[in-house]
Amino acid sequence: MGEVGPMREEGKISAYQAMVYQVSIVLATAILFVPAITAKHAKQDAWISVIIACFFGSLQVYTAVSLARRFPDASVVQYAPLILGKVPGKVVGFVYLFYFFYVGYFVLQEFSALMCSSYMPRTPPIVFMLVLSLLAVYAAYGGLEVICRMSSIVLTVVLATMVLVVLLIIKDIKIWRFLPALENGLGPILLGAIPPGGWFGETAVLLMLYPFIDNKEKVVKTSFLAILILFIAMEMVVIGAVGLVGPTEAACFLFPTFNMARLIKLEALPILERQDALFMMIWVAGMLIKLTTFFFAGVLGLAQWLNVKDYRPLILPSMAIMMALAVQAWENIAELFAFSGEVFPLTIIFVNFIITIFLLITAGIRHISTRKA
Amino acid sequence: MLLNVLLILTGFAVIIAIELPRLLRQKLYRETIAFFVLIAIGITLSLGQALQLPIPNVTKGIEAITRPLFKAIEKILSP
Repeated sequence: MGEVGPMREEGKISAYQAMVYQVSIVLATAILFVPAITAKHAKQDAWISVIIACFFGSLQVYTAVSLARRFPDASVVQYAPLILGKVPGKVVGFVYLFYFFYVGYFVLQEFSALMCSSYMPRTPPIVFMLVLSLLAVYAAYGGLEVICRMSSIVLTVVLATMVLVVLLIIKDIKIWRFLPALENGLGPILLGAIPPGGWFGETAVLLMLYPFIDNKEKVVKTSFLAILILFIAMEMVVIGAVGLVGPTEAACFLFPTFNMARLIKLEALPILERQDALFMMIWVAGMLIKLTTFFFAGVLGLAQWLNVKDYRPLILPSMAIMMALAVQAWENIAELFAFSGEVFPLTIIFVNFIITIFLLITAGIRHISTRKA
Repeated sequence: MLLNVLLILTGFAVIIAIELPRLLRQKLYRETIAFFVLIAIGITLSLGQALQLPIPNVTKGIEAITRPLFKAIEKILSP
């Protein structure tokens, strides 16, 4: 097993920095898409869906951490062949690394879709993709520690802004909009829990980051803390969106959280009204972090999959492929939305949960582990 | 269309100009092969779209497998 190990010294991050990663990658897309998608199925019970999704997310991240702990010095792309044998392991490794690129180009499309539909309708979408991906390339050249510090700063501002927006609309939230509870039974609530459940599962990106974490004994704790922070943030936007405009309208908006920020009305302090510009600013930064993290994980995985020593030469060609895939994948924003509500959550649950738990069980049965006792 | 093709080829030429000298100087042959395979995939995908050739769409493939599954789940869970 001599070849398994960190490819080269990419620096170390702490468990808390990994937590910042886990929170910021989910937050960037989830706060925007979860209210509309969840409210569409679960209506006024969307907040219950988020609770269920939170438990499912905890299960997924715990599965991922349990698997990662068996192989402290390697990433999932490296140890999948140890668990399943050479060829099946390489196939599973490829599924993981494709998944990282898949989320990456999905993020690129989401980003350009929002910028085109809400802010700059006359700019071609490819311009937004190019700008965001060049920034991600730049960050990926910097390496893991650079991306980490950048995330910490961005996340602080993101969370502060979210709390500000929610505090400003809290007086306009009407409790009766959440009634009657459980109108159509549990089915729609479970259906509404699938997309946020999938997003919570993205915290399993830890499978790639684990070898670089310094204080590994804290990872279980910080992962659950990440889920908790995400849960609170998602509840805030779901309750905010549904309580402010009602479930039907929340489901009709493309981006309810944005409209929420636009609906801020404050006679005493008009300067705080219409915070959507501020919101866009932090959201762009959040999207950049998300894209960078998944892109970095993908390129690193690709380098490990191909057994090359340095991932850096692969950065630019991978980004070119990712952009080509992003342009090819969806023709318009309606297709992208149908995809993000129906197809995307199931595919990421498949990778983050089904494959991960399959690897964990196989490793458990075959007693495969590189951990020193 | 011609402009698109030209822009795409320029983009890839820039990428090669940035990375190739360093790869050859450091004698990273395995990396160089991987680099060119990725470039080839990238050129195929992007030129294929620019020239509107029938190239496989991975995302549509994923969608074709997953959407029926979602519809089935939706049917079970709907009231």
